[in-house]
Amino acid sequence: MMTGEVEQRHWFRDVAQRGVLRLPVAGNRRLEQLREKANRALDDMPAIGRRQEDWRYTRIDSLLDQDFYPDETDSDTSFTSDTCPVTPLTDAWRLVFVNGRYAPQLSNDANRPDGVTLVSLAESLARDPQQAMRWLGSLAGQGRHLFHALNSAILADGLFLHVEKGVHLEQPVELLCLGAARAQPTLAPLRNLVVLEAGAQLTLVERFASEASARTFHNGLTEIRLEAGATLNHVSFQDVARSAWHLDSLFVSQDTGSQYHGVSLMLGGAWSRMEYKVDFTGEDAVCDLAGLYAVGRGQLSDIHLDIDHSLPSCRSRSDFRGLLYGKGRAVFDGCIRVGEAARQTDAQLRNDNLVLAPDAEIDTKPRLEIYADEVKCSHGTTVGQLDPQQVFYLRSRGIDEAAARILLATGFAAEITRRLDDPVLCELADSLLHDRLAATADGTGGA
Amino acid sequence: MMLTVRNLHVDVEGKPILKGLDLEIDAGEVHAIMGPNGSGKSTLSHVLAGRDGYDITQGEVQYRGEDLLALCTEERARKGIFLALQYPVELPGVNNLTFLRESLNAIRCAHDQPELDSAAFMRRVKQCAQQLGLDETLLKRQVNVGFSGGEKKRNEILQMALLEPALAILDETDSGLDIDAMRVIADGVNALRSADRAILLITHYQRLLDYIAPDRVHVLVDGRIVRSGDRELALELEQKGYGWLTEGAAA
Repeated sequence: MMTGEVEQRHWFRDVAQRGVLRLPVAGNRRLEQLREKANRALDDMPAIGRRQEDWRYTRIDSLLDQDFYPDETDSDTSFTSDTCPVTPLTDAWRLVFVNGRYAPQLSNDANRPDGVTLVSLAESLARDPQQAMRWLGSLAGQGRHLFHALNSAILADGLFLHVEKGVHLEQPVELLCLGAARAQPTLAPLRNLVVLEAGAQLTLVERFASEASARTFHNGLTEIRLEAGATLNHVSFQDVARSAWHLDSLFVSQDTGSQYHGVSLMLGGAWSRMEYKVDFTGEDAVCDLAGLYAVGRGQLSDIHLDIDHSLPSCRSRSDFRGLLYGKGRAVFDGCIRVGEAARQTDAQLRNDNLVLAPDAEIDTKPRLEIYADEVKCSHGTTVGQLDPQQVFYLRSRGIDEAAARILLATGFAAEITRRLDDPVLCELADSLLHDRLAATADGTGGA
Repeated sequence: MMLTVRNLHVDVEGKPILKGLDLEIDAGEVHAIMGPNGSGKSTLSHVLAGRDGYDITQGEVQYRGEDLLALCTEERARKGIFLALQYPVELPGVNNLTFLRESLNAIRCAHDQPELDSAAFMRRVKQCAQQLGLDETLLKRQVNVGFSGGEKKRNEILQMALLEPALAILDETDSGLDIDAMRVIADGVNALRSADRAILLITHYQRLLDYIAPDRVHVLVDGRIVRSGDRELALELEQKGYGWLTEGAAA
């Protein structure tokens, strides 16, 4: 049974209340209004329940059983370069957040070229109360559910990235979100805002990692606005502890001719949910999403796509692969809507799953709603197991069965991981997957 | 004796395919098994390599004095058995070099040899690829994915050259190849001929034997070896077809 509605509302209000107490005095009228509105939404929005399409297969009881507190430890001293759970990229500008709190000492935003704003949102709001407010909330609005309202109700910090017209950045921007283990379960709220003006180009690499025992709930919300002809390459690499919860919601708005290339890897977490909401505000835009989720025992990976083609001649590609290697569960709920005016839409949606363990479960539900003529749309889903012929082939070359299965499973994942387009991240993804699969002695995911 | 097969009976899904097959191959020899479609040629090769789905109801197979049928597929490979598949399998997402290195190291490991470092491995692979006229770009591709028929077969022979098996079984490796490709593959096989190695060629046509001269030729009909002889037997088959032997078997 899903937790009762009354308890659920209390939970959201309590978590928000504890967060509000920690907020700096903003003195920013528009920000306060945004938070107040979100606070009201915490009362008005419907409770999350299995009758809602995007929560049908997702239970959040184990999350609601915990009381989450905002972190109060000094974020800068939480990690050193020796204890950091990930190796940061070389040659990247970097913002680091620990349990949702900015860690300036760990960050690196030196020598930024002109035309690029890369700061923590709180810092930006303190410096210029109006700049970020022009866009904040403009894409997410009220959000779709209580977790979004919670994010806005205690909105305080995150990444603010603004690139001026025509500026191309070769060097990537890295956003490191680290989870530190505390005595109590910790809420890590994060609110990011990315604005690329016309023709700007950038690679943003978000990485999520945590200490092994961290009981962190990352509730992140990112608004991405791509103006005409802008290109964003966006990598999201999530490998948090299995004791952690991870919710990341992306709201993307694409103007004429803009390109969004997203690759996301979801490897960790007890519950790991990603939500994409993509809207086109101009024609000839391209949205290219690829993702890999890998779940073992005790994990739920939960992906929701909502791509709205309301204007003509835009293209979207969604290619998500799942690797279920233990008694894990995954939900894939992909919806593409092609509105009446969206002629010449080219939309493809794919979801392929490789099930390595007998008691894994995948609920996949691709949906295509087409109201326009002259469109090219397709969707396809597969749920399969390793091909015994392939396993035999490898074994007949001396490779033992467990190693053969790992090789084939990582091969299946490579279709997505190679799109990370960064040798360091590719190798990291491969070795993490290899280790996970190898840890389940016979490659079936174990008990 | 490298390989001794005695009175081997094999069922596939309850249907008898091999019905008392006998075969002996000594080190240093090249044997060819010929036979019409459905005579059990591929079944024999698969059973020797340890593929699932075959029911051995009678008989025994000794490989270098050991009970081959008691070994699992990878153990057989590590002990020197290699099967070049008639239809090489595609492995999407698996890099050919990774595949080759994992195989080689698994086999070296089983012989208490150290794994090759990547420079030494690359030298070995490139040398083998060159000898077989295999386009080096295929090494970096996914195993057999998008390879032409000839490229797949060359990739099999590349694996064989790299892994240096004691007993190499080539299952219809010549099928679907043009003369040039066949010559390259024959060169690869001939290069591997040595006193401590045996090769078993399974083929429908005798033309491969123009390039790889066998020491012995066996004719497999309806699950049994019905005739054995030297190279001349293959030529006789070429002229007369299998009919005269098939009738003999049925009688």
